[in-house]
Amino acid sequence: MLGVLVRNEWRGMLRDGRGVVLIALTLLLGIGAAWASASSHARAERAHARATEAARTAWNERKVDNPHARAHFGDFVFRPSGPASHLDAGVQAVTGRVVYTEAHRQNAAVHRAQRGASALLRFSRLEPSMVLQHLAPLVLVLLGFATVASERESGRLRLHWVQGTSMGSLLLAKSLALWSVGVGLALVVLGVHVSLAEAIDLGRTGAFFALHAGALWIVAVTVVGVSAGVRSSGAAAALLLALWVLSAIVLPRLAVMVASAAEPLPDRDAFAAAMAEDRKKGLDGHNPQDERAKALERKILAEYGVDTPEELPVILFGLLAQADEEYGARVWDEHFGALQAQLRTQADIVGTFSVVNPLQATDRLSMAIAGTGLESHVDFLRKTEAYRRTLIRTLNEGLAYDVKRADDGTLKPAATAEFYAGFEAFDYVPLSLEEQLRRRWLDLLALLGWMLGSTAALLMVARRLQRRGLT
Amino acid sequence: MIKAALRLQVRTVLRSPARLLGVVFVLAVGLFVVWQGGQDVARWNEAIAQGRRAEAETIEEARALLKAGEAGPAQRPWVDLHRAAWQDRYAAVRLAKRPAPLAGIAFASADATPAVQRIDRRADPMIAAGSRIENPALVVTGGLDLVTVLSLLLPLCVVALGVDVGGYERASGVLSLVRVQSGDDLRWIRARCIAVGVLVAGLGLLLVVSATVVLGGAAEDALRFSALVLAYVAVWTALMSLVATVARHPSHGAIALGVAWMALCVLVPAVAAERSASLVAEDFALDLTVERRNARGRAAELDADAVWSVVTARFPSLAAEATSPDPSVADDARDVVRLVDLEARLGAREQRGGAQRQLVERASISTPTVAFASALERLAGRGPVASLAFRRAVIEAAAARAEETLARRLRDVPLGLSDFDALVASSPTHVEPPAPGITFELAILLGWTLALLGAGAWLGRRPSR
Repeated sequence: MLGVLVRNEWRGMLRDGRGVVLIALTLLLGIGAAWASASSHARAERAHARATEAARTAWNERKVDNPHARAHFGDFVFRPSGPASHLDAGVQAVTGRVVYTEAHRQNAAVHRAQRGASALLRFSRLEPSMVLQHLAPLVLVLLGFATVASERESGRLRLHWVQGTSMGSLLLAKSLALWSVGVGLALVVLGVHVSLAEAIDLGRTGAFFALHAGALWIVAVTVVGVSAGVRSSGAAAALLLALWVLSAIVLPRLAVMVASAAEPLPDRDAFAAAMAEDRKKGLDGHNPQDERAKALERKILAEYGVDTPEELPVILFGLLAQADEEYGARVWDEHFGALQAQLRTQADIVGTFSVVNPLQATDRLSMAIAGTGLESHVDFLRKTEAYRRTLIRTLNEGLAYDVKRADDGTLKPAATAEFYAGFEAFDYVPLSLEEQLRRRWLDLLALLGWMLGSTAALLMVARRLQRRGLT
Repeated sequence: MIKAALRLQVRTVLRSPARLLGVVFVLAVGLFVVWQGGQDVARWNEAIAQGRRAEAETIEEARALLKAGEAGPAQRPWVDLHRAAWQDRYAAVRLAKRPAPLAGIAFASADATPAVQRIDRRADPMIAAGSRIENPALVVTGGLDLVTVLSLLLPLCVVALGVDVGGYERASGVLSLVRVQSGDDLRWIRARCIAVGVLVAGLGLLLVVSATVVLGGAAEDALRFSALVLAYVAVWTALMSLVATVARHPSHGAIALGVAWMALCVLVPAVAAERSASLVAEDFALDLTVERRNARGRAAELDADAVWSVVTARFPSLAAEATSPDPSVADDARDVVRLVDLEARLGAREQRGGAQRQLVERASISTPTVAFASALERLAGRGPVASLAFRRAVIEAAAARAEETLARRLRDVPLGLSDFDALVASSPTHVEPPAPGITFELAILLGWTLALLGAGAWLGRRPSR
C-alpha cells in the first residue's frame, strides 16, 4: 500500500511541469556546486603541495648557519584542506592559511585570501553542503507545500478517507516521496563528488550522506505535516517559507549575535599586550643582563662544576634560549588556552540553538564530518604549535650540545647540512571522524530528537485527520 | 488612493500578529546590532588609545634617555640613540586607522588590517591580522550586523507585508469591484505596493537614524545611508509590484516573492561567493611568506654597489648625500632594498585583489543585495578598499622613515633629542577612511528598480492579464 502511494506521489510530481523544472534546476545547481567545489579543492591541494615544497626547499637550500639563526629563519606551515573539505569548506573560508613558526613567538594563522571580496563573505558558498542544507529543503518546501492542502481543497483527501486509506500511511507515503527527491539530489551531488575528487574518504562521505538524508527526512516530514495541518495551500506555503527563512538564515545569525554578546572576545592588541606583559616576567632570551638569565647561568655552571661560561662543554646561549622558550610556552598555553576556551564557549552557545533548529545541528555536524569545523581548526593550530616547539627545541639543543672547540678555544656550533636536512616538514594528521563526532554529541542528539519528534508529530497530525474526518 | 492603501496596510499589520511580530523582530534585531556596532567602534577606539599609550611609553623613554645624555637603557648596552637606526626604532609612532563615522554598521565584515600599526623603516602591513580576534565558527555563519539586517531582513519585510497584494484582490474578487468603481485596477495594486514600500522604508529609515545617532555619523553620512536604503526598498517594492501585477492567488505571490528573495539574497550571492573562493583556491601567500623571506635573504647578500643603485633609484635625493657611500652604510641601506621589494609585493597583491573587486562588481550587477551590502561596507569605511588604503599609508610612512634614516646615516653626525623629536613629528599618526563612493551601487539599484517597474508595466498592459 505504502509503495503504491509513494509511486502515486512521484507520478504527481513528475506530471507537474513546475516540479520537474524545479528538480532539474536544483540538480544542475547541485552538480555545478560539486564540480566547482571539487575543482577548487584539487587546485588548492596542488597549490598546498607547491607551497609546502617551496618552504622545504628554502629550508634545505639555506646555507649551514647557527641553529639559533635558523630558529629565527623559521618555517612556514600551510594549512591543508580538511579530509572532505570539498563537501563542506566550513570555517576554512574565514581562517588564515599560513602559520609562521619561529623562535620566541607563537604566531596566529594569517592570510585569509578571500578578504578581497569581503562583501561576499557575508553569504554562504554554493558548495555541496549548502545545496543539501539550504537549497534541498527549499525545493522540498516548494514541491510539497500543497501536497495535502491542495488535496483537501479539491476534495481528493476526503475521497482517500472514504476509500479507507489510512491517513498515517498517506502522510508517510507523501513524506517518503518528498524525502526521496532530497535523497536523490544528495546521491547525485555525492556521485559527482565521488567521480571528480582525487581522493575519497568513504567513511566521511557515507556519514555526510547519512547526515543529510536524516536532515532531509525532518524537512520532508515537516513539509507534509504543515501541509496537512493548515487549511489552505497558501497558508502552508507562507508558513513553510517563513520556517525556512527562520532556520536557514535568521536563527543561525541570531545565535551568532547571542554568542558574541554573551562571551565577547578580547581585541587582538589587548590580548597581545596581556601576553607580552606576562612574557616580560620570564627570561629575555636575548638579554645577557637579565637577572633571571644570570640566575640560570649560575645554576648551569654549578651543575657542570665550572666557574665561567667559557669552561662549559656546552654553549650556554642555547640552554638559555630553550629555557626562554619553555617559559614562553607556559605563557602562551595559558593565554591561548583561555582564548580557545572562549571560542569553544561561543561555539557551544551557538550549538544550543541546534536544539530548536535542526538545520544548524546539520551544519555543525556537516563541518565536523568534513573535518573543517572549529575543533579541526583549533586542533591544527595546536599541532602546529607542537611542531614549532619541537623544531625550536631541537635547534636550541643542537646549538647547546652539538659543538666543536675552535682553535682559539671557544665553542662553536657544529651543525652540518645533514643536521638541518634531518628536520621533517610539518605533516598534519586530522582528527578522526569518530573523535569529531564524539565532540558533537549534542548536535547528534538534537538531530535524532528532531527526526523522531517530527515523525511522531506527523503521525499525530494523521491521527487527527483520521478522527476529525478531514474537516 | 495611496492614502487609503496606506491606512489599509497599517491596519493589516496591526491586525496580523505574525506580521506585527515580524516587523517588531526586525526592528529589535536592528536596534540591537546598532548598539553592538557602537560597542565595536568603542573597542576600535580603545585599540587606538592603547596603541597611543604604548607609543608614548617608548617615545618618553627615549626622550628621557636623550635628555640625560645616555645612549640607551642600562640593560641594553647595544642600543645607541645617537644613531639613526635606533632613533627610528624608538620613534614608535602608531599609525591609526580611524573608524569611519558609520563604521559600526558593518562590524561583521572581514577586516584585514589592524587598528594601529607601529611605524618604522621596516614596518610591513602585508601579513598583519585585523584588530579583532574572530571566532571562525561564528564568522562562517556570515555575522549579523546592520548591513546584514538591512540587506536580508528588509526585503523579507517587503515580502511579508506584500505577500498577498494583487493575489488576494484577484482571488477574492475585490479587483473586479475596484475596476468597476475606478476604471483602473492596477492603480489600486500599485497604491498598495507603494504603501508597503513606505512602511518598510519607514522601518529602514528608523534604523538609519538610530545608527547615525548611536554611532555619531554626520548629516552627510545619514543622507547617503538613507539614499541607499530607500533605493534598496524601491527595488524590492518594484519587484513586489511586478509579482502583484500577475499573481492570481496569495500563494502565487508568496511563492514568487519567496523564490525571488532566495534567488537574489541567497543563491546569486552564494554563486559569487563560490567563485570568489575559487579565485583564491591556489593562494597560499607564497609571495608574502617564503618568497618574501628569500628576498630578504638575497638583499642581505647583495654587494654594496648593487644596494646603492637600488637606493638611488628609489630615493634619488639620497644620491646627493653621498656619491660613493661608505661600505658600512650598505647594511642600513639594505632596508631600502627590502622596502622596494615590499612595495612590489603590495602592487602585485593590489592586482590580485582587482579580480576579487571585479567579481564583487559583477555580483553587484547580478543582484541588488550584493550591491547594497557592498555600498554599505564602503560607507562604513570597511572592506578591501579601506584595508588597501591603510596598507598604502603604512608603506608610505615606512618609506619616508627609510629615506630619512638612511639620509641621517649618510650624514654620520651623532643625533640628539631635537632630531628624535623631529622624526616623531614628521611621522603620520592616522589614516582617514577613504571617501565612500556609492554612485555605482546607487545606479545599479536604480537600474533594477526601473527594469522591474518597466516589466511590471508591460505585464500589466498585456491583454491576457
